Amino acid sequence: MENNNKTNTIENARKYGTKLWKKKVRKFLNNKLAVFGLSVVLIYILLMVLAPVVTPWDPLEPNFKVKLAGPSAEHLLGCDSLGRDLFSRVLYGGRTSVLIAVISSLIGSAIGTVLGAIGGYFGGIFDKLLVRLQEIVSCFPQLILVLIVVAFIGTGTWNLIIIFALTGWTGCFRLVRSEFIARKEETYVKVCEAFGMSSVKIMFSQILPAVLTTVIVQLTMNIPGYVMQEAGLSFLGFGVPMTVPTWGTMLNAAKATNILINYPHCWLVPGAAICLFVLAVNFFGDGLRDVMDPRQQ
Amino acid sequence: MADNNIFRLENVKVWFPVQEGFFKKTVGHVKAVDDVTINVKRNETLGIVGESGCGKTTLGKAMMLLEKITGGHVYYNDDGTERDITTFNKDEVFQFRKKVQMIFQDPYSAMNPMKKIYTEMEEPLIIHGYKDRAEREAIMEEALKLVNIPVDYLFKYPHEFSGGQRQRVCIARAMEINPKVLVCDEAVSALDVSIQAQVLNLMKDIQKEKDLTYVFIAHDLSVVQYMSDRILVMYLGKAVEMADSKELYDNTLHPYTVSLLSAIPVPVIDREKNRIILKGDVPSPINKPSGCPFHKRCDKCMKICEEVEPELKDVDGKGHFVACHLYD
Amino acid sequence: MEDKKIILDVKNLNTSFKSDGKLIKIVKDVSFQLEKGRSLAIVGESGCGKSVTVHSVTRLMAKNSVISSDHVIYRKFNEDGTAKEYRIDKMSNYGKEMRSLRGPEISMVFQDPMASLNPVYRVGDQIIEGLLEHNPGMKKDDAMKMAIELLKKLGIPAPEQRVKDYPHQLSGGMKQRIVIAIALICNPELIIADEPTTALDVTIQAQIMELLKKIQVELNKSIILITHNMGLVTEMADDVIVMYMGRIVEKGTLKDIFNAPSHPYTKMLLASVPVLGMAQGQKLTTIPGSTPNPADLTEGCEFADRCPYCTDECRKGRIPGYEVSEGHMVRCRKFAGNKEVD
Repeated sequence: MENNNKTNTIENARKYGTKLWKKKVRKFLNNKLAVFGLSVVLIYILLMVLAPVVTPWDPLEPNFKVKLAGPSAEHLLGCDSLGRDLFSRVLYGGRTSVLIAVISSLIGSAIGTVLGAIGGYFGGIFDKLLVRLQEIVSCFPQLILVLIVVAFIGTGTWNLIIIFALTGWTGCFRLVRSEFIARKEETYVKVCEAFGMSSVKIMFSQILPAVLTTVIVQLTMNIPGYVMQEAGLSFLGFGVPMTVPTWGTMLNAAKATNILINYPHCWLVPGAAICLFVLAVNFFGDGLRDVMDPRQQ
Repeated sequence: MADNNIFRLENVKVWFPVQEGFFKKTVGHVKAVDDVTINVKRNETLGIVGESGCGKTTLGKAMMLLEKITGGHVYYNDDGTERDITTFNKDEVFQFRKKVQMIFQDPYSAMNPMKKIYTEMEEPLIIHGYKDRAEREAIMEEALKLVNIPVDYLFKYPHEFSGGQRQRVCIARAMEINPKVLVCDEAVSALDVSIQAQVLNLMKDIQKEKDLTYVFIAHDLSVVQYMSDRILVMYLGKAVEMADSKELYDNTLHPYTVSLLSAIPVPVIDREKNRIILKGDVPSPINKPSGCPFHKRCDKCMKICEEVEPELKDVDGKGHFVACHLYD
Repeated sequence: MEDKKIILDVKNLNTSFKSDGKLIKIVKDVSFQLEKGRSLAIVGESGCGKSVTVHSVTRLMAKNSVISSDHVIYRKFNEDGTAKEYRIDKMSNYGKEMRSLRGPEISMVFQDPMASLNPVYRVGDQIIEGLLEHNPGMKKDDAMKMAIELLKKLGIPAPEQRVKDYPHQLSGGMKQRIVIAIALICNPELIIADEPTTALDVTIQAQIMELLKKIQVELNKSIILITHNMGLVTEMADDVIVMYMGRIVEKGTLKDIFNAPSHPYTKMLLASVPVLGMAQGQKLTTIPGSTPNPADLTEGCEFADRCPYCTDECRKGRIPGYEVSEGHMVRCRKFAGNKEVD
């Protein structure tokens, strides 16, 4: 009976304990820019996923009758030089652009986190090798790497993702490594050692959760960078093949002087799409950092 | 007599190598703890005082195997047999961890800010094989009762606590696995005066209730004297004086202890004060002066002090140890 | 005027901080006067507003703070006995007037010597910086000579070499002496020391406190010492202010506070400090509970929740200060029969 009572009080306490995530959600909702960013991103995603429903036009189907037509009721944002509907191309193109950015960012962060954790926590020779490798990778000009890969295997969505991931893990590696080095000296890690906890358990259950929040924030903040990079590379013709609609290839298609001057909607539309998306993700990322950073509680 | 000791340290050394150059050549050692021979009696509080850099924290950590011992032996004995902890294998270390726990200086960094107190307190129990959740919760509740923290605090995060409450939770967490020895490293120096008194009294009560042995490390001699039965004074990695706390105060022998005592501001006015202000700073533990480590700042320095290092000796036969040539 | 030379006169100082759109009062109706050549200690636990009080006086406050007061007057005494009054409360935080006071008249010594020195400049340059700032046209060599002279006075061995050192080459005690030298170089009348020895060892603390006392007595300077260490107070101070949660709870001379502590908080605070040479087995008094959150306080005595003598009266309105003896004020309803002085 007495034992029962005890569990009851603990159970009760559990019910009324602090719900940190509730506080975090409230804090996030108080940040108007972050909420704006999140809503814009969500709208983007929704529109991209529902693209076939939202727009009747095929992004690849040329229609020379409406070549370079301005915005109208039929074609909401006008058409490009081949008469393809720009609104539809922005949505379908966004799918590829965002996918490239998200997957590259995820893979890069994963590689960086694993290597950074190992290097930072254990140190030693392996850590030194990793740091050198990281330095080499971040010194190597990315554009040249892209050119080499394109020369050998041609342009393609997955090629771009692989290049982004292979060159993009270094930032995350540095971040995670330095966090691990700092945190393994924290008193609470020493406390765990004093209790006889194994180093692998300390690494995963004590340090990694704290580091992961920073990684997630970093991951979000990387996405706009990749969107921009994809656009830049595709604009130059080294990114995704011209046949695949992305925000970058749309810009590429609009780079003729005649179009640049006389039909600004052709480049304004993808340009604005990129701009708004990048801004929104950055706002969201900033808000996320304010909420997630354990030092700011 | 020997059975009375829970810890016996023999010529313990903790040296950190100083490395220089590309090939990391060892050019010297920081002798954080240098040749310390002391004992800790069962159920007593041994206070360790000294200025920053004197090696008191390193000594405490060495006793817990949190710092690698370079030389000497540390014998631990809680069941009648003395065993050298420096020769322990992984399994024995794990068992030893249950017996000796530590309270750290800064209660703010001693808890993982991402975890609820519940998780924080549950982890040591899981590690040490308490599989049943109800059993763990019962232990946690009892430990919290010991430090006067209500159970509802289990589901809060560390940042919701004040410094004193955090330190009490840290004590509760250490007490869960029923240790025999608590090493308290500056456990109250980060706390406010009024909270400090609460925690000190609490620790005294717990000691009585649980038959604990304390190793109480602090720089504040007034606090150490309040807590301890015996006091060890350290200077530059050396034990310079060790005596019963009252004896140390009434009959101070080592000139360093004398000046340390006189430097402490006492919150009583009109008390007769004979203050000795030490000249200079503590020398670097890398290039220690020859002979007695204190001779350069000592006002009673003799010729022999510059050459021969004094040994820690029992001068009155009743356990007042001092390392000084004045009492040869 | 009167015989007393009041160098600093603070009346009803209030400081609040904006946080999450709310104003939180950190310093409440603080009034005190400091005589020239005396030292005043402000004691209290962390969060009691002792640092904020002096930072409000010297106007070194963050942007989200709101300071108001009846007046804050600094008096500069000339040799003929006349005085010039500066209304600090009317000056802007970083205006020309305020800056001309900081350094030559009022200077500060901060808690952490490691953080108050700039690691990339030689300490000599850091010492003479203030001198050059306030004496346009002064030659650097002359200034350096004065700095070396001052360091010699502060008991620093080989000052000619020391001024060429960088902060990381010096020990903690030496750094704090340099910080004191920076504060003293312009020969200020009022020195504010904010926990000057908390980061130092006891033997070094003794050296620094001895030095500060010497400066005060020999050069007839005024010192405000902020500390939580009761022992230091007895060594340094002539007058003592005890603060709790932003309010002065007791104010008087050193003797008044230590021999006849009247506020329950002061009494318990004094009894909770371990004193060297305490009898074995003697127990420390503890103050129950913990310091409240300043945002939760509404009216009445701030100490009410932890006070064993608390009555219903204590939770209502503003508690006035009562006179215990001349110059000894206590803010507690227990003394309601006495004369109200604040």
